[in-house]
Amino acid sequence: MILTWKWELVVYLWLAGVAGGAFFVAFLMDRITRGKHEQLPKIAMFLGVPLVLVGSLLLVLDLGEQLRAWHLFTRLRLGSPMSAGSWILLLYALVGVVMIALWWSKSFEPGELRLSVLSGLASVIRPAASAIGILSWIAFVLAVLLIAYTGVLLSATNQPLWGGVLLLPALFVASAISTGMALLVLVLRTGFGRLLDLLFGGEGERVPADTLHAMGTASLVLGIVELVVLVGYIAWLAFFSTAAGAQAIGVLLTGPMSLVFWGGVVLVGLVIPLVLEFASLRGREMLVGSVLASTSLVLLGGLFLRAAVLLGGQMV
Amino acid sequence: MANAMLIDESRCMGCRGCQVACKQWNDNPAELTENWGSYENPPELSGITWTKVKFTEKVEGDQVKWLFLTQGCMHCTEASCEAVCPTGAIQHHGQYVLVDQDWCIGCGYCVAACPFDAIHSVFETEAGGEQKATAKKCTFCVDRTSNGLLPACVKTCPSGALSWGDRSDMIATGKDRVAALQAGGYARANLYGEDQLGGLHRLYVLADEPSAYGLPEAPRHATSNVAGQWLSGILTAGIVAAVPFWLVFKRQRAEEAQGGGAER
Repeated sequence: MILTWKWELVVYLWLAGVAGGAFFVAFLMDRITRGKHEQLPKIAMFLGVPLVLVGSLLLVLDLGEQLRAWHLFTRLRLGSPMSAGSWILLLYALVGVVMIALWWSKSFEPGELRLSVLSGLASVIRPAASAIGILSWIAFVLAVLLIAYTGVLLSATNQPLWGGVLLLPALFVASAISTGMALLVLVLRTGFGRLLDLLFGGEGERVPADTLHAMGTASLVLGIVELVVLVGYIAWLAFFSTAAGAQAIGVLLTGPMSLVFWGGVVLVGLVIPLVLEFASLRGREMLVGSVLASTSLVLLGGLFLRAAVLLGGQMV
Repeated sequence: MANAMLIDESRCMGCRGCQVACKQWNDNPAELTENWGSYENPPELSGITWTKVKFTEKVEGDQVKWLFLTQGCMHCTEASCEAVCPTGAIQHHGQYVLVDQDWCIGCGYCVAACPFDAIHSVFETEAGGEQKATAKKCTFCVDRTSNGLLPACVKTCPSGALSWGDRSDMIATGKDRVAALQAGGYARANLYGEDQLGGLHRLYVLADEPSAYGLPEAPRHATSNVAGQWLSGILTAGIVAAVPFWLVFKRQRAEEAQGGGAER
């Protein structure tokens, strides 16, 4: 059995989902609370841009002719999800880099003496910093398109496990948002988020306990949503798709991907984190250890989901 | 005037001469394979095997029927590979669907999109490992056919199963043959490819139902529902995720509006 898409694509789909999902949740939290969580979109972008860049590198690595990757940006073929996705990825990374530069420029006090070249550069781009508001909205739209595209990419094919399955984009989006939230909670809990904020000129403000608690509740809801969509995806294939589709889920449920599916996606990615999250919400004080465990497991589960669907889809 | 290939599977004897002729004309190396209990070899089409005969054993009562299918690119009028190709390297040139080997980046999307599994970018090297390259498939021997020659497989076929010519002639010939087969006791004989995906340029006279040969009765175009799929992803983001978010964090907004001073 020859696989055309291997681990590079698995990791890429996962990273793109985590990066887009993290900004998606951070932006929403900040907007819904009317700008009370300014540092969250920032942290999400600081993390997301490198993840997207590493993912893009993996994409190029996977190509049969790597040096021709630039051919992707000579055409805009909206009917091809891969063409659309390449542009989304490029724009997202560009907008992200610009936003990071603008945030960084804001960290310099006018007239402050640091490295003079850097502060000179900062003072040049600083007047544009007011564009961050608009750029955040653009980045939000791009993040939605980014996490949706990873699923559309697979469903616009003719492999029984992917082709024409409307719930596949939904499943990848649900997983992306869930893993994005997990990444945010993880970095906030470990203090890495504050470090990033400080490095880029923020005040390293502690995220209020309320917010963390609400994020815990949201994680639980997102996990349940993902579980429901996953069940829907399997049921769709089993009952509403073609005979080939119904046969194809055997790869996930009983076939070569069954261990990854039941052990990785269901147990590690959904059941254990959901139990942990539920338990830690019952006790008002959240145990740091259990939060760290559940978020790491959700992130791992996202990786397992991409592996099961991407590799399994090629084994039918 | 579009040409097409007509493959009369009722005349195919499974000699696989077409496979060898294809390899020779197109300079494709042999594949390292293992005996897996069938004369069918290699087991799959690949980046270096553009046509092959698929062997199917169908048990009917106490009889075993041996069905042959000469597989390869169908050169669909509505080609999924062409639609999904991100660089536009795959294009129609008349009836030919061709991959521009200098422009293809080897992403493998067409491989996943093809309803007939006829295009591939990975192949086994002679050393035994796998290599990923640009996407390759049957070209209808465009370098021969555009110069008035027959495709290599057609030229070599000793049983007269393969023919090449004007598509409407091929359809007429195919229909005559189907009628003859039906009169001769093959009630399920049919012509495959006349209407599928806007019309295929590889037409089959089949002695049994398409599914018996492993052909999809109604092949689906890969991007036929791409708008719906985008919508599904975006709606999930919008409704399924944003609504719980709103419910969870709105309460916090209200709380902060009342007692925000104490928090900060």
